[in-house]
Amino acid sequence: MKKNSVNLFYTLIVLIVCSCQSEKQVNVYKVKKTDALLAKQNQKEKKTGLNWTAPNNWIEKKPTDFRLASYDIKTSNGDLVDLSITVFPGDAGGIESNVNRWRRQINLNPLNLNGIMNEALIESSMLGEYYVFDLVNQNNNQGMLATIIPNYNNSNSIKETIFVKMIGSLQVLEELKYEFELFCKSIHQLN
Amino acid sequence: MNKLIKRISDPKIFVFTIIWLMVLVFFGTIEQKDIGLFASQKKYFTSMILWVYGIPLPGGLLTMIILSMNLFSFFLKANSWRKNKVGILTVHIGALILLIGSGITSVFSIEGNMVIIENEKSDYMHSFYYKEFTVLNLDQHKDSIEVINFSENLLKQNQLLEYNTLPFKIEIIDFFLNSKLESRVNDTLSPLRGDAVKLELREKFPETEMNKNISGVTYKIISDDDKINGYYIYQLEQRRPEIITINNMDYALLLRPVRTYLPFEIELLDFDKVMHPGTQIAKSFSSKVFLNENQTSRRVLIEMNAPLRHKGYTLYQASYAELGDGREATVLAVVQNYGRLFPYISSIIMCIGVLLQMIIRIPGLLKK
Repeated sequence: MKKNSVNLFYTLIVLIVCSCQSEKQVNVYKVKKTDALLAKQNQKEKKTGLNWTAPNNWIEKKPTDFRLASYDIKTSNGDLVDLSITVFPGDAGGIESNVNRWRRQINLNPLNLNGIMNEALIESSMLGEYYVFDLVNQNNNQGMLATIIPNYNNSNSIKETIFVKMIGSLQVLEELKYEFELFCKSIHQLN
Repeated sequence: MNKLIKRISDPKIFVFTIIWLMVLVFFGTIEQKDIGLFASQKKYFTSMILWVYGIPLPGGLLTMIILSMNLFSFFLKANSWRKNKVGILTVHIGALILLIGSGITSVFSIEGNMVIIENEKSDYMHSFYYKEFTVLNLDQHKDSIEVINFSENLLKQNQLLEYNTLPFKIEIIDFFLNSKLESRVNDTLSPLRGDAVKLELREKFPETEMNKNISGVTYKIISDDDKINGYYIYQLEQRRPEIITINNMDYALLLRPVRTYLPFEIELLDFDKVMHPGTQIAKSFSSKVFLNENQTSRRVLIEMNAPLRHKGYTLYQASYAELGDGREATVLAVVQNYGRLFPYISSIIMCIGVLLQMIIRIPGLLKK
C-alpha cells in the first residue's frame, strides 16, 4: 500500500512538471481550398499567368473580353468606384498616347512626354519598375489614378503592358489611393 | 522519507497556502481593474513566482502545487488509513479532485469566439488572447492549403522562423502586443517591402481588455530571391495578408488570433436582436443556426441564456456586429472545458466526506 502511494506521489510530481512545459511551438495542418478560390485561381492563370491580391471589400466583377478583371470599390460615403485591369501586347501605344487619352477623359490638356514623365511616380513591384499617374482636374473635381506596368520577357523587351485605372472625384481617389498603390504592387507573374 | 512526508503533510502548510491563495485572489481582483483580466490571471494565478517590488513571492500555480502535494501526502501517512478517518480521507480526495480539475482546466481548456456572417458558415474559433504568425502555402497542393502556424512564444526579437516546406526563413524584428501604424521615419531597415515602404509599427501600451489590443509584427524575409528579401510589417487588423511569390509558388503571411478548428460547422441562418424601446441598447439577441456534422444538419437556436452544447464545446451568444454593407454577424463565445465536471464531483465527494466524519464522530459525542 505504502509503496503504491509513494509511486503515485512521484507520478503526481511528473504530471505537474509535464503540465508546466510550454505548448507546441509550430503547428501545421491542411485546409481545403474553397471553390471560389479554386475558380479564381484557374480563371486568372488561364488568362495571362498574372496574379494579384485585392482587398477583401473590393467586389470582383465578371471579366469581359476587353478587361482582364474589374472591381467595384465601395467608398466611405457608399459610392461605388470602378477599377479596371487591362493587358495589351507590347507597349500598347506607349506612355504618351495612353496618358494623353486619359487626360482628355477628365478634360485635361495633353502634355508632351517630358511633361508627362515629370508628373509620373516611379514605383517597383515583382514585375519591375512601373509608372503611376495621379491625374487631377480641380475645375470639375475629377481625377484618375492609373498605372502602366510593363511586363518584360526573358530577352528584356516588353512582352505586354498592364494598365490599372480608377476614375472618381478627387476626395474618393484620395481615400482609395493607398489601397490602389498596394494593389498595383501586388500584381505578379505566376509562371 | 517518513520525515519528508511528515513535513509536507503538515496541516500548517494547508492553512498558510489557503490564506495565501485568499491574498492572491484579493490583490488579483483589485489589480484586474487596471491591468485587465488576462494579465491579472497570468500575474497572480498561473504564475510560479509573483514579483512584488523585486521580491519573489509564490505565485498561484506554485501555491496550488504545494497545496496539492500537501493534500496528497496525507494519503502517504500510515495513520491516515484508519476507519475513524474515512471521512477526512474522503474530504481530502474531494479537495484533490478539485485541484486536479483546475489543473486540467488551465492546461487543456480553450476559449475563443466565432464570428459568422448571415448565410455563411464557420468551423473554427479565434482565441481571445493568443496570436500566431501564419504562413499559408497556397500553391504547393492542388486542392488544399498548407497552414503553418508559429506560436506567439516564438515572436521575439531576432527569432528565426523556419519550416521544411518553406523556401524562405522569417526573422522577427519586432513584435508588439499592441501597436499603431505611423508614417515611416526610421530608414535604417532596407530594403522595405509592401506596407513597410510607407508605414512603420510603433508600440502602444497594452489595453486592459485583451481583444482591444492590435498586435503588430515587423519581420524580415530571408531567401535566395532578392526580389522578395526585405523587411515587411503586418498588423492584426490588416484586411489582407502579404503575398510573396518564390519559384512560382504563392505564400500568404499574416498575424492572426490563434485559430482552433471544431469537429463540426455552424451556419448562421438568421440573427435577431431586440432593442430596449426607444434606445439603441440591445435587450436580447439570438442566432438561428444549422449545426452541420457528417453531412447532416440540425437546426438550433442559440440565445443569451441558452447556449448550444455539443461534443464538449459550449457555444454562447456573446455579441453581434453590423457590417458596413448592411449584413449582420453573430459573435459566439466558444468554450471547451475538460475540467467542467470536476467542481461538481469534488463538491459531492467533500459533502459525503464531511457527512461520514460526522456520522463516525456522533457515537463519541453522544458518550460525552
